[in-house]
This record gives sequence, structure tokens and C-alpha cells, in this order.
Amino acid sequence: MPTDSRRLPVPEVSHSPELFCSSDPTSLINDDSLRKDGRNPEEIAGIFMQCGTVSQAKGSSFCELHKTKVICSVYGPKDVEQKEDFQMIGKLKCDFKFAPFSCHKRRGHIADLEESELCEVLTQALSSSVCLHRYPKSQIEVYVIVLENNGSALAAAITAASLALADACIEQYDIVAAASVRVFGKENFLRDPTFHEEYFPHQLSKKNDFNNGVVTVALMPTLNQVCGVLSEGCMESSVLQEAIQTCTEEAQNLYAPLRKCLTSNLGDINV
Amino acid sequence: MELLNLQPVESYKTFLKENIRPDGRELMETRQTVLNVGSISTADGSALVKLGETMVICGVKAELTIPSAEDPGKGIVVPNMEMSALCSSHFKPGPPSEQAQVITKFLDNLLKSCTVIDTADLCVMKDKLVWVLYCDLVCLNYDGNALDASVLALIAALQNVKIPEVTVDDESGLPHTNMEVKKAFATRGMPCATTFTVFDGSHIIADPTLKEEDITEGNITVVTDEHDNLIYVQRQGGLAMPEAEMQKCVKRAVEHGSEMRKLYLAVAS
Repeated sequence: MPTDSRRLPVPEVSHSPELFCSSDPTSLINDDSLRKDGRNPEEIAGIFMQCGTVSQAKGSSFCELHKTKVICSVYGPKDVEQKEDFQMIGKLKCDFKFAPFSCHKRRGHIADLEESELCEVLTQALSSSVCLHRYPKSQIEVYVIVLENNGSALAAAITAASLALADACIEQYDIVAAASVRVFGKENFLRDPTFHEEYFPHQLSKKNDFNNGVVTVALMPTLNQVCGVLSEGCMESSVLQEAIQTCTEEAQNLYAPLRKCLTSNLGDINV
Repeated sequence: MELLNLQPVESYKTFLKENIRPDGRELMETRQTVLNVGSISTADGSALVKLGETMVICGVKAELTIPSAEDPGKGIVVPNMEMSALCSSHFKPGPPSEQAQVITKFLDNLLKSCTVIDTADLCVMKDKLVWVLYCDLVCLNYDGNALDASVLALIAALQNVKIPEVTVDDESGLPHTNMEVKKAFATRGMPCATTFTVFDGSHIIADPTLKEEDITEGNITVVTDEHDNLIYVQRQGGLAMPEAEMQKCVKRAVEHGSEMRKLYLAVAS
């Protein structure tokens, strides 16, 4: 790890204690066709959303999807940093970060490749919904920190970011809701996978069935338009289509709680 | 309210004439503090502190490493404060700002001077294997005085830490972890920090908000322990200060410390 002169010196190599424990590989679905946390495969996790968490920001939100906790703050529209970047279409700058203590294995401070990839997907999903042509010569900054990662971090981040943009009164075509599904065999679709149910490439798939992966879809519910898809793993095209359909349905169901979260904030304002 | 933004210093002076601050507090009064521990299940110990609007979360992750040659029987505790662009527009994205580095160093010095955790307790096998506790603090909302909030979050998180049992196999020399059995560390002491700042060279105010930090100069931070002893005192910048004023700060810090200790005890049970 490159030495960081602005932080305290750390030991060069350290290992998580989980590396040294003998773990038995447990299957994702047990005999009662229930998942490890007691849910049905189709059951989604509990959701909690709140706006206005960060008082310093123009708009902010906190989203909790089962145990996955994500906080997001939005600043802007502000002037672009370099005058050469003046464009008639606004710029959307996103920053996605896992807190060091958020995952089972501690993450470093410097953004790694996974964070860069998820940041790119987040930016693309939000760029489709924000009316950037309304903010010429300006940039909008979106900062997301995942405080606890128990699976579906990207889906929670996209939802939280869109909610924070709405809280900041940034014009959007529609709010963006995201959902993810774990594909494990042709018939097994686990909605809202937890961390242990997420797809890891070194895991073995079921015998005779190579369909194994995870799909995240970002959707604009009222317009019914998909603005972002991230699919990892190996799947037949029909299975992938079905997975995207499942995610779309789930994202549609998120619209009602999102709307309620935004309108509950407006209760005190005289319109 | 507009006057406070257009002419902050002048309008602040009018408030001080009545011995009150814009948010209704007295000069030596601190903001309401909320402490919540154990909310992050992926961390081995965690604490969230809300000091007024300032929010700091601390997560502790325990990992295993080879000890250093100078202290073969002692573990390592590494604090790190992150004040990213998320918490305030004062901060730009990138490497830690000077303010974050100062807080990190302060926490490091504090841990070394008051031995909340005895690093000898962190040793699994001398010369071979020790625990390293990474204490990562993330500021979620910066409305002034992140230092007091960080100290509270760090100590509460360390009290909340539970780590799995590790044994070293005699024959192979490899460690073996039992994730089912987790035990807490014995933490000694409950240090508590109080920060003051000086307005116009004459008025001392406790627990400044961000707006107050922008118009004042010089910080004094006093850390006391449960026996009302002084553990750490830091003075940053500002004009010279008479000793009597310093004594006032210490006295207030001792009172504030005993109030905060009730929070530590409430979450520990």
C-alpha cells in the first residue's frame, strides 16, 4: 500500500481475523426455501429514508436498506472550477466511497477500482434524470458514503443520491429508484441480496446450471424508463431479461415510499 | 438573520452585550449531545455522536499483524479522521485537509497519554501476532467543534469494541479465529474534551458552531478524566491569555466532563 504522508503510519500488512477461521460453505437457500436471514426469496428488505440529514449541504439524504446504510449530500449548482470547462450543459460530479469500517474486510482510504466503477454507474444513472441543460456553466456535486455495506450498496446509493438531489431542489425529470437481484440458477432470484448473498466470482455455481450473477437496475418510475443497468456474472439472455424485469418491478414499488419521504418534509411549508 | 450573514462580527457583538449567543446559548454552555453505539454491524465497535448539528461516526476494525521490533508485546491503535467534502462546503475532495490531520494527531496523542486501551492487552502472541485497531472517524456534518465530537465518538467506540478469540496453533504456528466467541476489551478511563475559542480577544465561548469558528481566533481544548485530572491541554493560535481565563476554561471543562461521563455510562450498560 503506498505510504500516505498525511495520515498516521500503519502496519504494512494486516489481515482480517476472518481469514483464519474455518468457515463451512452454506447454501444460499435452505431446505425450507428460506434465506439465511429468514426471508423468502421474493421478500424485499425493510427500507428507511430520510431527507435533510446533513444541515451544511444544499440537499442530503440517509437511506437504510435492511442493514445497508448510505448517506448522501448534494452541493450546487456552483461555478465550475476551471473556466475552460464552461459548457452550456451543466456537469454532474459524483463521488462514491465506502467508509473503511463499512465492509467485512476493511477498506483503504484511497478510492479503489470497485469504488471508481460504482461511481461511474451512479453518475450515468443520475445524468439521465437531472436536467443538466438548466444549469449552464455550473456543476452539481454529489457525495455518497456507504456507512455499512450489507449488500445492494449501489442500489441504495442511487436511490439516496436521487432523493438528495430532490431535497436540494435540483431539477430532475423523475426521481431514480434502484433495486438489485441475485441470480442463482435459472429459477432462483433473490431480491435485495445481503452481503453474503452477493455474487463473488470464485464461488461455484449450481451443478448443470451456470446462471450465477447479480443485476442492479436504476429506474425512473413515473416515466418507466431504465437509466442504469449493471450486471455481473454469467447468465443466459432469457434469465438476464427476467432478472431486469424483476428489478424493474421492485424499483417501481420504491416510488411510493420515496414520494412519502419527500412530501413529509414539506408539511410545515405554506404553499 | 441577514445581518448575521452580512456583518457577522458586528452583529455578534450586539448579542454578546446581552451575554447570549445567536442560538440562545450562554457563553460557556455546550450544545445538546446525543451518543449512539453499536449501530454498524460490520465494524467491531462503533459510535455515532451528534453535538448540536455536528455529526461524527467512528468505526473500529480489528485486524491481525506482526508487531513492530520496538514493541514486540504490544498491539497498535491507529486513529484517522476523515473530513470529506460531504460534511461541509469548506472541504474539497482529495487528501485529508490540515484540519483533519490536526484532529488525527490530537487523537493519537490523546490515546498515547491516557491509555484508554492498554496496548499490551492487544497482544495475541509476543513477537508473532498482535491486534491492530483501526479507528476510522468520518465527519458526516460539520457545524463546528468536530474535535469534541471526535473524542467522544472514539472513546465510546473503543468501549464498544468486541473482538473474536484468536488462538495460535502450537505445531503449525498458524492462528485460528473463533468468530462465535467475542469479548470486549477492558477500557480504562473516560476522557472527555471541551473546546473553547476566543472572540475579539476578550470573550471566551465554549463549543463554537461553524459560524462562530469563522469569526473567532485561537482554540483551547482541555481534556479531563473521570478523577477530574487534566490529561491533555492544547492551545492553538490566538492572542495571549491571562491565567485566570485559563482557569475558568479548566473549571468549565471539568464540569462538562462529568456531564458527558453520564453518557458513556448510559451506553456502556
